[in-house]
Amino acid sequence: MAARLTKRAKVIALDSVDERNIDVFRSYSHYQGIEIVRASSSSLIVPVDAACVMVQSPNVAGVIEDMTAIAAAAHASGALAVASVNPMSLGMFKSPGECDVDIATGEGQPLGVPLGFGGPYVGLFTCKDALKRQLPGRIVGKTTDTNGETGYVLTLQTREQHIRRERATSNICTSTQLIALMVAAYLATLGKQGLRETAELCYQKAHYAASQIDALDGYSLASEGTFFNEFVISCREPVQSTLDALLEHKIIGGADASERVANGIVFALTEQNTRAEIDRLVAALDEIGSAS
Amino acid sequence: MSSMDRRLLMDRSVAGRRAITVPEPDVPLTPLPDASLLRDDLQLPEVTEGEVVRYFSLLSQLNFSIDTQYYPLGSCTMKYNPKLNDEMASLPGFSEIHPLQRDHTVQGALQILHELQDMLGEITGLPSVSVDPLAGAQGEFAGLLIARAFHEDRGEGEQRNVALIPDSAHGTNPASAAMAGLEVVTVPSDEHGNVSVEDLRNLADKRTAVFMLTIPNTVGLFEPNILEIRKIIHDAGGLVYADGANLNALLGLAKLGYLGFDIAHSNLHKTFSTPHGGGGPGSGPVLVTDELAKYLPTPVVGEVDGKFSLVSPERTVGRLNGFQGSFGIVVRAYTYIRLMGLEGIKAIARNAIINANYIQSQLKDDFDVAYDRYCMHETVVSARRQKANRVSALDVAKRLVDYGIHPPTMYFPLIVPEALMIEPTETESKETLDAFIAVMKTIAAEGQESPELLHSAPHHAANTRLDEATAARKPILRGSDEAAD
Repeated sequence: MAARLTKRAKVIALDSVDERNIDVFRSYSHYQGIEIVRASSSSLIVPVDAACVMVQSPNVAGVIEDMTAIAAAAHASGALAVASVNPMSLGMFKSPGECDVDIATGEGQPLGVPLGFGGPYVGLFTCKDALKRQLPGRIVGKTTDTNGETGYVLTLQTREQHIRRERATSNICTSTQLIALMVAAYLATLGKQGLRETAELCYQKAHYAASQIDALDGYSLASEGTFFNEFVISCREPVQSTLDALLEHKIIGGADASERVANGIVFALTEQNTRAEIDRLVAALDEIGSAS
Repeated sequence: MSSMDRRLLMDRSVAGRRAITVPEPDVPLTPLPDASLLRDDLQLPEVTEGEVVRYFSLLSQLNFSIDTQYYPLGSCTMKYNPKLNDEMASLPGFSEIHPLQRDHTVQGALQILHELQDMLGEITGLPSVSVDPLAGAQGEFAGLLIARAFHEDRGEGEQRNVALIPDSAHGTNPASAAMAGLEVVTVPSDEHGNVSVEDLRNLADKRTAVFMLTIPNTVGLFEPNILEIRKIIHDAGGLVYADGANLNALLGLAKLGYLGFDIAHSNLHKTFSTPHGGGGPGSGPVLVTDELAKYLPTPVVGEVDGKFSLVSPERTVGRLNGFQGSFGIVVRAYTYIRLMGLEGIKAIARNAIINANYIQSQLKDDFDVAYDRYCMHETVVSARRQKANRVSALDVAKRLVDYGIHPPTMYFPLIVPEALMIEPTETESKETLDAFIAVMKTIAAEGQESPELLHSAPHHAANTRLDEATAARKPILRGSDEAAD
């Protein structure tokens, strides 16, 4: 969408974007002639032929990125800013819109969707109002019927394959409406206060866990900066043996992050974790660390 | 129904109301980050739990659904979805596992994925399967990437950049081809609704990457020349792709692999009875010959000595989504296939075909049948006779709503004017089919006697006809848009 809007074919992706996202992007962009270039957020230089800058916040290490600065850098070169966000983090942190990001996407799973081994989930796709006619997929608009009563229709369909066929700008047909409905019900139930409080619970649980683990011998917090509910711990022992030992304690440990951090494990804490569970994790890590 | 309160939830919000209480943190508090990073406000509703429940429940009653009404929506296979499917997918051992758990902690889930790969391979005769694609269009896209990778490995990647697609094809075929960077060349249909073999012969050449064919085709007919078509494409060096949207008609009767197809996708949410969910989630596995297995999207589930693991095919076309597809949908399809068993699977297609032909035979006197021969699982009738009386397919469809029946697919395929595409499915009784036929005959008579009744239909729905033109010209996509305009 950014390439179409800017008529440019180079995408700058920060190196703190999850490799899985980059892999999916490559599968989709390969035959579209779109080139992807990785860049560091600390020394970001946006070339003048860039279509957009892709940022993930919280990033792959769980850290909140400075989306405002990244968006400003993108705009200075005539590029768009594209952010991938954890929607639960937006219960407390500034939204991409407030940071002047142009297009924001996110994985909707944290908003009340079961983990279910990876799906079905719901992808969130949003943009500035001025760009809405370029949004792909099924979009609902409000209208009136012949009696003047309010009703809703799928709209802006001319971009889609029903009409333009081989000139369509997306091939989206079936999407994940039912999961979107779950998210709507979840957000309605949490409401204005509930989402804020739940986001803060995630933040509090994660920071408690991180500080407790960081204080142990043989483990250190590797995430630098403000993090939300995920953080990377660098372990003295190899990742697989630490995870195996945790499993002996009936704990499914975190995900392997050793490609980025030596013996790194990324832990995620949510509002569902109790202090007792966290303390049990910390005690298990301590035992594993001192046994080795 | 029009007297129902249609206000959005945001418009029912009262400051301070809430549906749930979030517990206080049970851990020592960490100071919040700098205020410059935090937001001030969230525009979300403030309502009670009772209000939330009533709001969503009442809105659900405005919908047609397969659990409440007959739903002969062509090409969508709106069959009954056994509730056992949902029950199995909800088992905590499936619904509560994390997608990044290591293989040895999720052997049960991996075994389900592996067995479904095998079962789909057996059903279609295309033995190598990836269930990664999230729905049919992503399955198509994956299949086209596989075709491109195959030609690239043979040194013909640049040269073979054309997808041949019949004019009767689903719109996603050309759209997916465009996404895969292929040029679309349209193949005309002949007067019987089949692919014009002569035209295909002239169009197939050294630029042909793939020919995409829906089978049975979108007018519900089996391509009688499939073996010749396959030879033309293979002789030209191209691959043959099957759009499996209509696979319901072939279950246990014909195998795509035996018919000469190299690549196919299947829609689990159609053929294998996973709920449509009002537009998804679905699942669109991609199926190929053993020769093409090395190009499948990653990951697929491999098995060694009874141990299952996620593996990446040698020359994979890449990752299509974050993890391993719509696992919850896979569990539902797996449950359905196991529930039906071999004999049950064979009965599906037979009954779907019998039901469609019964409807076609009974509607012949009142509507034009697009192609008057035995159909497969669906039939396409045309309202061109009614059109002479200024009654369109749209009018017929809207009037069906008044009789409590979901309309058939309209104005598709594009090669049939005033098309109404009717797919009864195998799970409907003769009584239901007879009731539908009677309503269609009544509507045909109403079209003769009082066409204005049809022009202004529906009369008994939540809304009369909606102004789609204004909706697209001046889109109101959010509750707050109106105030801004």
